[in-house]
Amino acid sequence: MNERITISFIFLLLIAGCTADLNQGSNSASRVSAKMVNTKSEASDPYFVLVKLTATLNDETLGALKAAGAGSVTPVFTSVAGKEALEHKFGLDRWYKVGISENDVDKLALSLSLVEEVSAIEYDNKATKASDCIVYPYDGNPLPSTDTKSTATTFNDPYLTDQWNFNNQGNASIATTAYKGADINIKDVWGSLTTGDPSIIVAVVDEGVKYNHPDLQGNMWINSKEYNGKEGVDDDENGYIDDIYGYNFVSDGAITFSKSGDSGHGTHCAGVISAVNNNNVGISSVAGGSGSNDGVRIMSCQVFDGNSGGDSYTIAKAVKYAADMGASIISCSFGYKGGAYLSDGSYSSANGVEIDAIHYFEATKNNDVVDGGIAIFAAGNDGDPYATYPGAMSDIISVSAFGPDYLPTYYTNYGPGCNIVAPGGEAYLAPWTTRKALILSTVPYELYKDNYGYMQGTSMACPHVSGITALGLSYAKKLGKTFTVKKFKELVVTSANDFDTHMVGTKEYYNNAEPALQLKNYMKKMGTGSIDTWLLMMKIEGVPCLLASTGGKQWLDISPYFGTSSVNLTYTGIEMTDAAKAAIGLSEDPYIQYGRLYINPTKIGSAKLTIHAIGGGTQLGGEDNIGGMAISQEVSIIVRSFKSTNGGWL
Amino acid sequence: MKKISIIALLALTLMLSGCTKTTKKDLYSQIIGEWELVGYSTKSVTVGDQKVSVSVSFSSYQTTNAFVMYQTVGDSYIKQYSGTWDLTDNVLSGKYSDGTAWGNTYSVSISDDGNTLIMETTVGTAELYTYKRVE
Repeated sequence: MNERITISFIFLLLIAGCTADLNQGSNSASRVSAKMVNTKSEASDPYFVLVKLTATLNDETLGALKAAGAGSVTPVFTSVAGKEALEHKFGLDRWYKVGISENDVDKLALSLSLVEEVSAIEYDNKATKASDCIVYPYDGNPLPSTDTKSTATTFNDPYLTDQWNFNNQGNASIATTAYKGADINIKDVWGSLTTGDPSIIVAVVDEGVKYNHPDLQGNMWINSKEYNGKEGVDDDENGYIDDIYGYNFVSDGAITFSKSGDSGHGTHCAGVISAVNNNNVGISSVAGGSGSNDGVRIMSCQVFDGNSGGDSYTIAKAVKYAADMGASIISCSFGYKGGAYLSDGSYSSANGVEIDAIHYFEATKNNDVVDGGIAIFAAGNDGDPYATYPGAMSDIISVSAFGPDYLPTYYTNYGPGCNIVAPGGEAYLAPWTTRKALILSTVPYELYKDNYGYMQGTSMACPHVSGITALGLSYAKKLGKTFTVKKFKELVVTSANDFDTHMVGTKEYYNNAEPALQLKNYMKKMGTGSIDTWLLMMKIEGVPCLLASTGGKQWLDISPYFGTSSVNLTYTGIEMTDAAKAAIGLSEDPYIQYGRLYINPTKIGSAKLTIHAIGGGTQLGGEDNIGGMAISQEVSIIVRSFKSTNGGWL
Repeated sequence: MKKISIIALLALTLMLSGCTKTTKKDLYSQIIGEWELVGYSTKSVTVGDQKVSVSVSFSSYQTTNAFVMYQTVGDSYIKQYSGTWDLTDNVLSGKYSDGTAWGNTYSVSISDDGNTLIMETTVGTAELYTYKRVE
């Protein structure tokens, strides 16, 4: 990577040196290098660059761009009435797609870098889907149910018994090492709390979603103005024609899902989030409702189309669309090649158009519960000891994958930047006589002559967390609760079960199809642990006060706040006011050791304190490094003269 | 005279013995039912600025005294506990179903109308808890 940057820089300097009207000395060269925020790759579009201006385009600047060799100059983003201030705040009104005229794109970029009003020039970057995109069509033999307790709380979808990700009974025919309970702990949530809410919209930023799939159609988001409008007309005047279920940002037209080069990836992810539940058809999904048209809605923001797409220009436009059209969550099962970026700063500076759009999305309120959008990404499938970007950004939830054996999958990325782990499915687990160890979901019939199929990847883990987050928003809405988006993300990331105690020994594959995993390598590197839907709902209801007693130093279990992985998290500090300390008679500061809160109260009363920790990894992500998400939990403590160790009041 | 005194003493002893037995039995039988922790005049207790709601139901069947308790401590979801209880010499003790003993034992009394249960901790600093019978 460094070698490539050096070569490109030398190349630029050479061009600068050879071109008479660009030969303005070393200051120019440094200015050029500062404005060229990334390097061209083989996948970069050879016909345009993305340019950020210092101010909104005017005639004078347009003239300067044309003089520098620009062919076409068009805004990257479509402005939406009423959102101008937010667009300006994140610089979206200053991004332009500048096409070549006669020169090649390198020369154009170089010339543009000398235009005063240009602040950044980006080559279009290419992301890839976080899955091998191999689909095994459904085998049509659903497993018999072995969970006698769940009959009252689950749905009538016939393939639900093949979805170990929702209710893992440890069935050895799935994997001889299948682990009972290695799932997302959702069935009681479905049974008693919520199954979704149609006002919560999840944008699947991916291949096009098969919006007329029999198990998805009922939960597709519908743009009613376009649905009821005229074909070929931009009825809602949002800049996109006939965007009924979303939009194809690659072709700038209708959503597609079954071209040559398509895999059904977007349709599969959508099915995990919100295939229609309890409709006697196919599969169940995380937040697909109860069969009463009450599931969360899927918006298809297509950024991969056949063998095209996946570039930062397309992704940025899709993310802004999601924000403008009402999505609360973007579910993004893609990322850049592992190791392409190893700090938040290096990613952000090289992908300004994309991160500006993500920040715009995160600042857009589209529901009654949180004050912004939630971005969820796959951690990546390179088996690298760090997450890929954009998911690795410290304000984005990045999801790693586990298999039905409750162990890391062979492909999952782990380590810094990975925030939480969810079912991703896995091939080559013995006995490997079926494909049921992967994730079963919806696929386009046109590609596989079947409506359902198995896939694996952090691509599949990501929509589990997206769906659970959508379910959490649905439940919070039902309870009338509100949160900041930061707080809600913290609730999601800390609704996790211990994963590290399983990181012992090796994990073997059928016929050694993959090298054995040394599980100790994953210790403390799988984020905060495995996501637990029930825990999230309980945290949304509210976390109970910790009960302490007077009369000596004691430790308090903080897992209700930080999940059962709390013992293995990295804590960065405790805040407690003097008044709070006085309220329970603390003469020494509380502290965390071995994941427990140590405290010595001498007075009956109550107090609050805030514990800061890192959600995934041992260091926070930042400008110069890749790392975890900052998470803070306000902890309430009630002190009496006695306590019961299990938290009971008596 | 002596004979009369002995008879009177015997009668008194029997009466007292009967009274004691009746009192204990009453407390036992009276404690059975559903109780709600009340903080002074409200349905919940406040410790510092944290609200506590506790509803506990005592029952007795054959030789087993069982309880089920629902508690909300602070701004949280309801947590359920269950276990067994015992009353000896007006002192109520118990064990949760996970084997954990109650954090304290309580000296208990019930109001004349049978609707108020007073529980005072017997170990350490005395703390008084008042419960109202749930109709």
